[in-house]
Amino acid sequence: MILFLLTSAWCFDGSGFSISQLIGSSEYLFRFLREAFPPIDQHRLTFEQLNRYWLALIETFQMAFVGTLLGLVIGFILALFASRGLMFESRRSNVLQWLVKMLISLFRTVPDLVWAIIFVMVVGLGAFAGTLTIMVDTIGFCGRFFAEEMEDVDRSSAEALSASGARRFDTVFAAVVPAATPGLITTSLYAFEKAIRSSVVLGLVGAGGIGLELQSLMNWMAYDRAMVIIGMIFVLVLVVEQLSSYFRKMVMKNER
Amino acid sequence: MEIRIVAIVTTDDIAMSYGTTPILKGVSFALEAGESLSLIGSNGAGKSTLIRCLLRLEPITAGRISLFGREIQNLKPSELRSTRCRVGVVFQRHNLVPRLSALSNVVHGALGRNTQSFGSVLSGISLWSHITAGSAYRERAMECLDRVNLADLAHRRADSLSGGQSQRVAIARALMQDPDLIIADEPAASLDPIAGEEVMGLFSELCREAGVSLIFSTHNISHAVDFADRMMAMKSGRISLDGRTGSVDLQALKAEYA
Repeated sequence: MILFLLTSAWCFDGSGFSISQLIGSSEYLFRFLREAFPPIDQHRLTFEQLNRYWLALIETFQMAFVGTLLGLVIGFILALFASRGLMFESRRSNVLQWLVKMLISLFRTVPDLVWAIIFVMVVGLGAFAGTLTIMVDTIGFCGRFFAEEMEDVDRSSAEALSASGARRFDTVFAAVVPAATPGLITTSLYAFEKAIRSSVVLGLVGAGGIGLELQSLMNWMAYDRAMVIIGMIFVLVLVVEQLSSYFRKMVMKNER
Repeated sequence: MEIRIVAIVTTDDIAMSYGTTPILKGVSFALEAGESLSLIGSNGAGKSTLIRCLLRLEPITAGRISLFGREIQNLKPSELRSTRCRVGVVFQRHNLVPRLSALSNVVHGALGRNTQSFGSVLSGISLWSHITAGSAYRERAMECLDRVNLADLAHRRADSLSGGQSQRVAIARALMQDPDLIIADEPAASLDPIAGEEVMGLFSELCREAGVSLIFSTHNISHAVDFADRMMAMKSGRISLDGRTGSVDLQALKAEYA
């Protein structure tokens, strides 16, 4: 307990957290809110601009969808090899399992904004860099949780198939994967929700999507139009979260 | 004319230990084709370990095990699979895939047989579920379910079946393999007495009809005597009795092993 209190005090000190500074800065917050509301006040919003935001929002969704899809497929393949004793069982396979786990950890631990900066540097500004970032982030997230889901499955049905002469590959897909399916689906839905949220931010470093529009409006201090974009992002994230929650409930209902 | 009797299972002085604890100590027996053998013994006597060793699910530390004339401890993975596919296995807790239908679980019985042909990877993939399986496999699986009187529950999920029904699906899965030998580890242990009796009756009848050899372990002395031609009792990792079921003294056995 004392250690926890000391650590907390040390971290608060280093984090620069200050109530007085927050209260002192409230003037700037109110100025932002005054200028942001009502949205579309000083800077008249044209149909062309709205159309551009809408297309950027769609691009954000597309980046998140494709990045998640590719990340799920690659993450699943890596998870098969990262899961203990699933595909192989030998000393050499332990080394392979460790290497794959390390690769997944690397994808997961490096923040998505850092990946985005790297991919912008490699493939240039735009949606492709964002899609690659989401893909790598999803591989890291799903690779770990898919591997854990498959490790937690009761292996007795796989052993029964193995005892009757089935190949290991077949025992994995006929017995382990079906048993892990509800967990795999819910993890995939969380990954998509996460991807939608991060795809919005990726634009800030030039990796495509609506974040790019938001950043330029903030730079021009066009807060009212920025608020329109924030509203659009809010609706997109909310809709995706609601749909994801609905599908998750449907999956879990079938498991009761 | 001389008639040669072929042993399909032979164990020669096998031993097995978990760490430093010996579980099997010099077990030797042979099972002839078409014979049914029951294994009895108290918990820890070594029945389940012996069964797992016969399938090379556990490694033995000494001796030799031969299935269909092949020494299993020296087989390559592909050779082991082709030997195992001739053995239908039924476990105490049926070991079905819970989220799949009874029919899909039975279709899985063909996975082992399927690996023996060249270029069978794609057809193996088709056997992961009854939906993708070819009509010949589906029809055969339905026949197997019909033989265990469960054809009407073919599309029910395995985790919604009762213990007795699940065990019958496991038997149908073993039949789908078209095995020469069925090995069952306490198949009636998790069932109520009536369901247990039904499952054992079904086992013995199906094996007799198809001329399939049978090895099963049980704690129920009556099952051991009623459903097998021959019985073996185990005590502390050794065979303490081996004889025809018709010649055993049931009361003495119950006093000793029940």
